[in-house]
Amino acid sequence: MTQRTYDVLIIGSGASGATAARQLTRKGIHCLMLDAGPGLDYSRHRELKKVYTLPYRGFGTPGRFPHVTQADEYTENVWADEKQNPYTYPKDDPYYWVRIRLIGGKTNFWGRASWRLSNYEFKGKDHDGFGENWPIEYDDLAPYYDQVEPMLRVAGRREGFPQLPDGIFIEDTSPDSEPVQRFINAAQKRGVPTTKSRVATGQRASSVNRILPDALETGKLQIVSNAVVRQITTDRNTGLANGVLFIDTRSKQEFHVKARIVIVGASTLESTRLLLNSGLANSSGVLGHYLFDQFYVKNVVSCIVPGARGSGGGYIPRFRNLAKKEKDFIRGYAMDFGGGGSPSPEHLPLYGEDLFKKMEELQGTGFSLTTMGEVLPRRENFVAINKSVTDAWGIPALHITAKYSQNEFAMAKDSMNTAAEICHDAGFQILEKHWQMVPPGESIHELGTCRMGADPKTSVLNKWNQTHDIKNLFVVDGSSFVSGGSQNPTLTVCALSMRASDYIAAQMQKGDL
Amino acid sequence: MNRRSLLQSIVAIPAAAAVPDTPPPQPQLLQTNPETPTTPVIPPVETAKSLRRTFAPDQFYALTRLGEIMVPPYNGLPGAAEAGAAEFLDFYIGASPQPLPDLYRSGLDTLNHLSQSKFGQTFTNISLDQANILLAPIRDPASKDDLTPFLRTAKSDLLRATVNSHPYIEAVSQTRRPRNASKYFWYPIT
Repeated sequence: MTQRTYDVLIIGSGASGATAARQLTRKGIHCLMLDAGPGLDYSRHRELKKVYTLPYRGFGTPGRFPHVTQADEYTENVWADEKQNPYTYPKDDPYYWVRIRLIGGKTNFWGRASWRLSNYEFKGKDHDGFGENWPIEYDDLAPYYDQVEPMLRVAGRREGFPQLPDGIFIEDTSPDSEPVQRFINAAQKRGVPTTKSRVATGQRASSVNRILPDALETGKLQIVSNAVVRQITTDRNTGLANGVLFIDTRSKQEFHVKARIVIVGASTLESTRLLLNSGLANSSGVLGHYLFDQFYVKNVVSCIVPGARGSGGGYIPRFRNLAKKEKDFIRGYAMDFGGGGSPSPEHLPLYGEDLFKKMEELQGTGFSLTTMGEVLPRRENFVAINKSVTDAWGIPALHITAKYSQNEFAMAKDSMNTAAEICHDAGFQILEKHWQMVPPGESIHELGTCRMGADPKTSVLNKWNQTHDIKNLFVVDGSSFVSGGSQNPTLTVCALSMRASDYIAAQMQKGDL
Repeated sequence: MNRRSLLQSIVAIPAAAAVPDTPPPQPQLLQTNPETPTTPVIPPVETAKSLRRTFAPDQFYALTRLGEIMVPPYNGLPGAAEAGAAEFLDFYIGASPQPLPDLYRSGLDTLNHLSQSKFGQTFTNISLDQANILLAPIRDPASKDDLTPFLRTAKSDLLRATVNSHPYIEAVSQTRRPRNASKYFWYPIT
């Protein structure tokens, strides 16, 4: 049998891989996509069930997911099994690596928040001297944001914030409830901006229903499921990538597939793990380093709103350290806010009938905020291969070292104080406030470790997401980020992948790839 | 042909010759019949009582009493006792990794110890007023008392085990504002 050589091989079918496939196939380029997970069949894989019919009454299988706080007993079969897919971390610094192995990846279950980065991120070093600038600026990516937002049907409201550029939105004209309006007014008096949330809409916008169908429609995309890639292979004469070795997860049969160009979009840490295990693209020694994400402080302030009930919410974009340095930390944080729920019983120091009566009285008066803060990219936060631990397919696992720094601690504390002040000004009754950040990784916004840069000595990728070392090897997911701001990263992941794909197509047309 | 001759003749038949010409019957494929009904089944909690495995008797009775106090019946809806919350938690905590089992065991032992030393009886047998004295830490949002982490965990777990129980959900479904207690359960996807 003659083995076919594909134009482009794409590893991963989530936000980045699917966007690459869509962009390339629409330009007539044949792509093969490999994904480690199976495909979802919504009619076969899910069923409405009452909670008491579940084996653990909704509490979840004990101890099954120590690091996936998002898993509950209804969804626990969806998350990547930590026994099949192990990883390690220093004993006292747990990292919560949250993964989904399915066609469509994490976009099957993402929160859909869709924000653009600005030059406060792309040119962060110019602004405050820390870290590195990206090798691109906002104007380089803006045309791609303009395409990704309609692709995902992002709804939002135009505001003109320089730190949160506007986009091609489905205009959100929904009115604010009284509690939300009171909060917004109080925030404005303190100079804290607010806006509507910007979210991808439609029937749970995801790779499988908003991105991959366009690619499949061209007839130029083939997808192999249950394919775990072990290694990217190279031509011993040219040093160029020439394909990958992959394993069928069910049979453990191994295969080699050939391609002219390899695009890695397996999600931030899986992509870097693959490059490390392949021994490629690390002439800089930077591969695996500069791991960061966004820290969350869930329910940083929880309140009740006396005399008003109403749902809805919004978003506070970064407002610290913009026009001037104003705090004992650099960069900034954003906050989600929302009302309409009932305060959690955990926030009421009551039990028995007293608790039930209070909950009835307070029904619909809850209001809370969650902080999402920038984690600084630092070399000492990194991933490396742990050769003593392998996954179910014999592939060495990652060891993940990540700690927050004083900058993040100071930011979290400031967010609590700011949120509490606004809530107080709005006349809300504060039930609880804290600044306990979730462990690194739990926000599922892991970024970096394969960063872009102009200098091959300090970065893995160039400004086209192309590895400095191997010109036909590209990495298009969140691992390419240089910094992350406080904005949810998926929109930028898609825009970067789309831009890189346009570059690949142009280079192929010129015969340079 | 006598019996001996018959047996000899059967043994003498070559194996291949014994295979009939017609193909063997195919297994009945249920999915090919669109009218095959789904057999209705019920979960064990609708029919049977859970066996106690984890807590010592004094611990279990203290947990049961704690459930009666923290999650009593209210507005016609069942409380922790009717929901079998203590029985469920005996099972669930026993199946959970540390530190949850130790948190529960030491917390329940502490409740019994405090009750004995203050009122001369185990937690199960003291009055509601006396129990409220021992449970004071949970009414103080700033409490640093050693018992507070256990009490907060137990309150949350007893509430959840109650409102997620079969009796509670059945009772709620009879009210004017029935709660939608069903969500999509995802099967293992391979």
